[in-house]
Amino acid sequence: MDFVDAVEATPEIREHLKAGLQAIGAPGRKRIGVARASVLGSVDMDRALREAHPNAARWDYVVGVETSDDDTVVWIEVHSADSHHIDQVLRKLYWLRGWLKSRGRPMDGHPRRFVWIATSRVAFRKGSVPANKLAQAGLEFPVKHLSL
Amino acid sequence: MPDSLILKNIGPIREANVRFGDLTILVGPQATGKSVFLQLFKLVLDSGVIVKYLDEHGLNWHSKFDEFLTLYLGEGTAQMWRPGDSEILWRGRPFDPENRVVRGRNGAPEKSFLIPAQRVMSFSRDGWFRPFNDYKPGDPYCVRDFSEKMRRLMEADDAQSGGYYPEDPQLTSEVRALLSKSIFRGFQLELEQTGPQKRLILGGHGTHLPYMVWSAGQREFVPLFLGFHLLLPPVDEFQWVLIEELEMGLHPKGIAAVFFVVLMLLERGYKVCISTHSPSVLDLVWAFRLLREHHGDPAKVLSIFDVGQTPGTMRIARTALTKSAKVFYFDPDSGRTRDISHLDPASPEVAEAGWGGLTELSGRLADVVAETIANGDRT
Repeated sequence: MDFVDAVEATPEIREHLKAGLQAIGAPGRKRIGVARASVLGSVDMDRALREAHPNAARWDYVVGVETSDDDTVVWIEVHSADSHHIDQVLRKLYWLRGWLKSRGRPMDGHPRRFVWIATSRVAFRKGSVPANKLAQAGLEFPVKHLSL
Repeated sequence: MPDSLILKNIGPIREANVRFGDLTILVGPQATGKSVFLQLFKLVLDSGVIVKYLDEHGLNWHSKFDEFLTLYLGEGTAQMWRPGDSEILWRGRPFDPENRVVRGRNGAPEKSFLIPAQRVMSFSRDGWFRPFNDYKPGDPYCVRDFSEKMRRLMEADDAQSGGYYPEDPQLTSEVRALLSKSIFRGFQLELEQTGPQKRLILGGHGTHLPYMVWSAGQREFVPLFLGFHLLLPPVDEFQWVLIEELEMGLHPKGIAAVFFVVLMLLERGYKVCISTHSPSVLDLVWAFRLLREHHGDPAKVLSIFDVGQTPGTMRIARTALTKSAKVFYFDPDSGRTRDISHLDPASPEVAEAGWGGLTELSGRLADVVAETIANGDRT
């Protein structure tokens, strides 16, 4: 199942699939560059799940990227990167991963990345305890610019 | 003219271009030229004193610069300087070391104090510093010079046997407590005199430890600590303090304690240049830059070090927040330096984000772990 098929097989988000990066809001989109990959589509997860899960710590976006082997799903959170935001972002990640095991199961099979795009200065370094906490949850170190 | 030093085509250095801050940090893998840089910086600042001192100790280089380098940098370094190719510029102006060495001594006071990486070798097994002429002519000048300065300092000191050493009013009780807690672990440095012979021992916990049973960290730290003791009064003639590998033998808590003493040196008006392999040192520099930019509270600075608030410690913290810090990476691939002072963890420049390679391994480990865990439970 490719990325588009997976989105369409997921009732809670299928109506929100957009071409290219169109689902990504301006603050995130200006921080994403497409150089090597071909973008298959994107979904504003926060908006798509707002009605069904109004009180959940919802993740921001998902983008499908075509690579030579398989489609890769890039889960993107656009957020400030002060150290006191770490727990907030991790809460969203844990909620997303729970959703992928339940209502979002069709989206759970592709190779994937969990990416944090920083909207502010990153206030901790690689190798630090906060950075290791992210890695242990499967989240990449925050970037100011994501290159796909 | 700002304080800047450029070295070209010297040993492993293709071009090192360092514009100093109040505090300057040099990072980079082994054998990239950091130590050579610091020693040649001292030569630039103090060539007259160095020439005079070597001369007074009967050491002769026959007006040949390669022979001088063997005496100054140490045996096997004569080829580092390539005549016609090597170059030094201090504050934008050429500095001709060959000419300076031939021209010889001058009356200028010594401007810098260098604490060498090999400081542990400056101690004899008797617990006392070795005199200048106890070394071989091919041993680096900066080790011999540091050793001799420490020996003179301690011999001139009229401290009483059995007391805390050094009895230094500049070292406030808060800083003593910090060093005791972080490094000496309840031991204290004491001067012991048996007959005519003085020596340093570590006392406390009902014990009496001579030099040969000190831990590696204690052996490394004591010469550094006594170097600070010399500088803290402060010494009028020295403007620059150059420290090689500040962290040698120290746990990160000890590194933080020593860094606080560096802040004391800055407060005393010295400019400090340090080479390091410790990410903890860059953690501290990074935090200070952000605290300075965001008008941080001096009390918060003290909380980093777990130092109590007194008028003296608050003054140190307040001053630290006004000082500039620069960080330079000695790149082994290009042989050039790169200014990574911004220390942005999210910088696309790998050298800056990885803090000159100091966090590269831990960063790579985290990347691999994140990728594995992200995909580990896919359906």
